[in-house]
Amino acid sequence: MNKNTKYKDILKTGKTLAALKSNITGYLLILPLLIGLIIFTIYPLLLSLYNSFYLDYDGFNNYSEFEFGFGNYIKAFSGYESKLFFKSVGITFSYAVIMVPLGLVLSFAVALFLNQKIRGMVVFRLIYYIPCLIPSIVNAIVFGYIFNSEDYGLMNTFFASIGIPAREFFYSASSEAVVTFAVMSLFGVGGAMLIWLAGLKSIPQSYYEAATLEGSGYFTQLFKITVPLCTPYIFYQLITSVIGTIQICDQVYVLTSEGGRDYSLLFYGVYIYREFQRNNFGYSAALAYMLFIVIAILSAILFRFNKYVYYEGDN
Amino acid sequence: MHGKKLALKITSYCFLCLFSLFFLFPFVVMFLRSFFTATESLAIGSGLIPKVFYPKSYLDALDPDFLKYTGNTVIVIIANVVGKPLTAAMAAYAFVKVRFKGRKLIFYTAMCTIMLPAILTMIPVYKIFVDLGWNNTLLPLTVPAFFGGGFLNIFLTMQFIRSLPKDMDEAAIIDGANILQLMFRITFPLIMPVIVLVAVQSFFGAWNDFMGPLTYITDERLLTIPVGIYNKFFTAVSPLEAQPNVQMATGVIIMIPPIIIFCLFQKQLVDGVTFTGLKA
Repeated sequence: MNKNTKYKDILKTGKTLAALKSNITGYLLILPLLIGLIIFTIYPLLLSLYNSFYLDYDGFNNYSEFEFGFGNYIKAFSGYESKLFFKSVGITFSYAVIMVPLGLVLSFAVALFLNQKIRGMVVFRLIYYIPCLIPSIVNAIVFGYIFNSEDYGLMNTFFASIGIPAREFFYSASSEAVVTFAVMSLFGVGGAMLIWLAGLKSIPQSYYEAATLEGSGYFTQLFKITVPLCTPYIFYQLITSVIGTIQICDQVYVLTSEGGRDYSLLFYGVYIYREFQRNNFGYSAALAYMLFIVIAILSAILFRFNKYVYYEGDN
Repeated sequence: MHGKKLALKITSYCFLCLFSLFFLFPFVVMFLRSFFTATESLAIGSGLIPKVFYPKSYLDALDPDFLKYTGNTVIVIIANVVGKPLTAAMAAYAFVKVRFKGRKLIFYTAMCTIMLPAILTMIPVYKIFVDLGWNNTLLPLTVPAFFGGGFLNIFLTMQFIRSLPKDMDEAAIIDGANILQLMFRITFPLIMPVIVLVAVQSFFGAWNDFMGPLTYITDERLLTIPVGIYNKFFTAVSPLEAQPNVQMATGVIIMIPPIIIFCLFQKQLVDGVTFTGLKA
């Protein structure tokens, strides 16, 4: 009896020691991440929230000089600022609604072409992916020339040769600027294509062989086998591209730092950054928080679609 | 049947080549225009073929400023390529293999960060760097790499560690190895492919980063290539001063390293996509 408890005690201390050791190791390994999370994410988040409640807080003067309340949030919806706010929301929203589905469908189509037993596939894949590899500043250099509003621009040279008057492209005050930006962004479908390719590769070839034996055609196979089995990838791409698109900032900044003429390229991200550069810390924090809320809502909605996603190995 | 297949293949090739033309078009334009002279690049109707072949644009592109920016970029890249995979692998190992209190809480907190718009934390972080006096150093672009490594990288590494067979661990435990020995001697060598993948992606991230240096660095001499180039060409007063030909040459030069890296690590990058957690 006595002996037994002794053993149990030893076993128990042994276990607690092991648990303690495991806890210490765990925290040692996680320490960089934890410090990073606290300093570069959680603290800034709280600070940002705090700043957003001080009307026109500039980041450097004492908080007591600013009015506390929902001033910054109200500011976005009233007065002069609301014009820019709604303009940027409109541009971002309409761009996302058109370009997210278009980008996904186009990249999927390109991936379908590449997903064949074709010689030189590696080379094609590289070529299609190049525009995604290069810094946005290179885009600004080359598309700044192709779509230059002056007569020496490439498109305008081409237009002149076929008798069409020169256009302003990015420097247009109308929606022409966003359309030009959309055309430019089509060169970036290679990124999504790479992920589609991984999805297409994961489908067992035997499914197609069975379907071919049963006599079903290419499009039946596409919609009955390929698309359903790619749903995890569709889901992933939808979420990442929606979140990415509504945050567009640097690609526009390199073209027109302040959002273009008459703010024709003022995407929401650019708008936030513009306010930040003018030291409107409070207001830009409020704008960023509203973006965060929208992203959270969109993600929640998109995650509802998760139940339609087919995961291999599930029943 | 055979004829039909051949026809299909030929059509596919036609489309693939057509797509290639589309995707290569901007870079062909850039390459050709990099051999123009400044005045000719601004001439109306100058097209794509230079009248005089002018390779000096490349010498002008590699001026002291550019070399300085390249030096800074190299420092930032080294920090990112070392720091991110290391911290990501450490965290991933802890999440998968070590039992400790608050593991789930920390994991889910880290996961939520991917939903945060970058700009939301960027502004207060800028303030932190200013208060620390770091905005006149390269520290804002190097130090964060050692703290966190990015959730997607952690997740990627976790998925990879999970896919490893467990019996090697068990054998080593019987031999009396502790956790750190297990990690460095057994797991890390096995997860080299994913460490390389994270390192390569960190390279692209650091090479392309525009918003980071734009926000955090105030000292012109400490800029990395993207913002340095931006300031050099896009803040010029007149089109001629912006030297369009040198711009193009610079563009060609800064495209080369990412393309080489992609070619070298194509396999890891492409295979890595399958590990990005598409099996939630």
